Amino acid sequence: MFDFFANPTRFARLARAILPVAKAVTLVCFALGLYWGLVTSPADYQQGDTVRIMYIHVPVAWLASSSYFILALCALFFLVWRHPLADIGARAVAPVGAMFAALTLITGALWGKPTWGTYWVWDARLTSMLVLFFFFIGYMALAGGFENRRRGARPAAILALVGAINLPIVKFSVDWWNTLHQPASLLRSGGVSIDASMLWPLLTMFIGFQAFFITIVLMRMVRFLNEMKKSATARSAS
Amino acid sequence: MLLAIRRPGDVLTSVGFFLMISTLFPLAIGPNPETLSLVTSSIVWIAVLLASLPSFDRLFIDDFESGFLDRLIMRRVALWEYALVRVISHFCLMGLPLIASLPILALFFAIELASLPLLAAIIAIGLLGLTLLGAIAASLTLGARRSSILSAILILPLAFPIVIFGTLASQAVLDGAAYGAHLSLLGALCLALLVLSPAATFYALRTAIEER
Repeated sequence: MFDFFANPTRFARLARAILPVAKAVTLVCFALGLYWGLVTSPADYQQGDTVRIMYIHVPVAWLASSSYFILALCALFFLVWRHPLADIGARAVAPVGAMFAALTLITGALWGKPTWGTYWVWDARLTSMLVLFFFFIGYMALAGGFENRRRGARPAAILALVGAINLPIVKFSVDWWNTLHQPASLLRSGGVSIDASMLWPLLTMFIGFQAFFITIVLMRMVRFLNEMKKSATARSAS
Repeated sequence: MLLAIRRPGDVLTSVGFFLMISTLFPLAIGPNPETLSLVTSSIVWIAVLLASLPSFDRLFIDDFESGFLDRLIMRRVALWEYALVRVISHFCLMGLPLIASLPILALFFAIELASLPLLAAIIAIGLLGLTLLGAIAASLTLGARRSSILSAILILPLAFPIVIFGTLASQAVLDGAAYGAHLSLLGALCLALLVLSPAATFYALRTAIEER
């Protein structure tokens, strides 16, 4: 199956088919979710209106972690099956993941100021998100650190896998400190502990950000492919 | 062949660098002994980390450029064994002198002599782990532009757990508290790296040679 999708031409056709849908879903979900979350959903009885930051903060944080997962998956496919498309995918995901991690930290800081009284605390979750950001930065630095772009592909993929093994270890050791951050309230045993009036806009925003992620990554991949095609034709012409 | 790389100048430079970094902290924090005693283990660990970082660059670069690695591959020597031997020799040549200079630091920061051997053992374990990480980063950045700053960027986030448990264990030793749990976790990390690092280094070295 992966061989089937690894064909660049077939991939480009597929991407052209998915992109408009993903764009439309992004726009609709953002419009709906932002209005729902920022205007109609109730304010928190303790935090007031600042709770609305959650509709950005939480989806972005989920996506930051899953971006690294996808990056590591691409790295694995690239190392095992040597599909160039997997490398392109990983390169396309990395900056987006770094941006999501940065957005998580920024929105978290803005949320922390009114609720905790400070922009930043050296809490376990904040620190591990910062480490995740560093991992993306390291991947991008290594992937782009060689004169020949292709030469960076395998080292970067190895790094992504080493990082994937290390991330849980880092997370565990950072958790060693006691945490100020509230425990997870959505995905835990015993069901969802958040009211439906807040859950639905949150899920809408989550789908919106997911579609946004797909849009950006596919657009970047198609652009990489076009650039490679252009440089290949330029080389054969000269 | 491996011992031929020995250059006493490099070792002395890195020990001097180590002492200078630890001098910076009292200059920046202030000479008050009580304040310093709170952060002694952090000072020692950050000095160890920073002093060993630049030396990791030298792990494979000489063998890579001289063609020794190509000959190893042609002779079908297992590269992971080579990597492990290289890490151990690097640890003995660059790491042990740092540990040997610990008594000077003990003098600077009023560390009790009785706790010094234990402290040295903890730092030795951590330093071995750091060198294993350094091997991964050094092999990945072979042939890259600005490889030294690049490998530092790769090592530092991976080194966070070692620094966390290393400082916790050393501070516990200095305070006379129970250090067993932290030390076991530090040891576990380094054992895990002992498995992971040669494998990753092996792939990275082979890539560097194949795609030179």
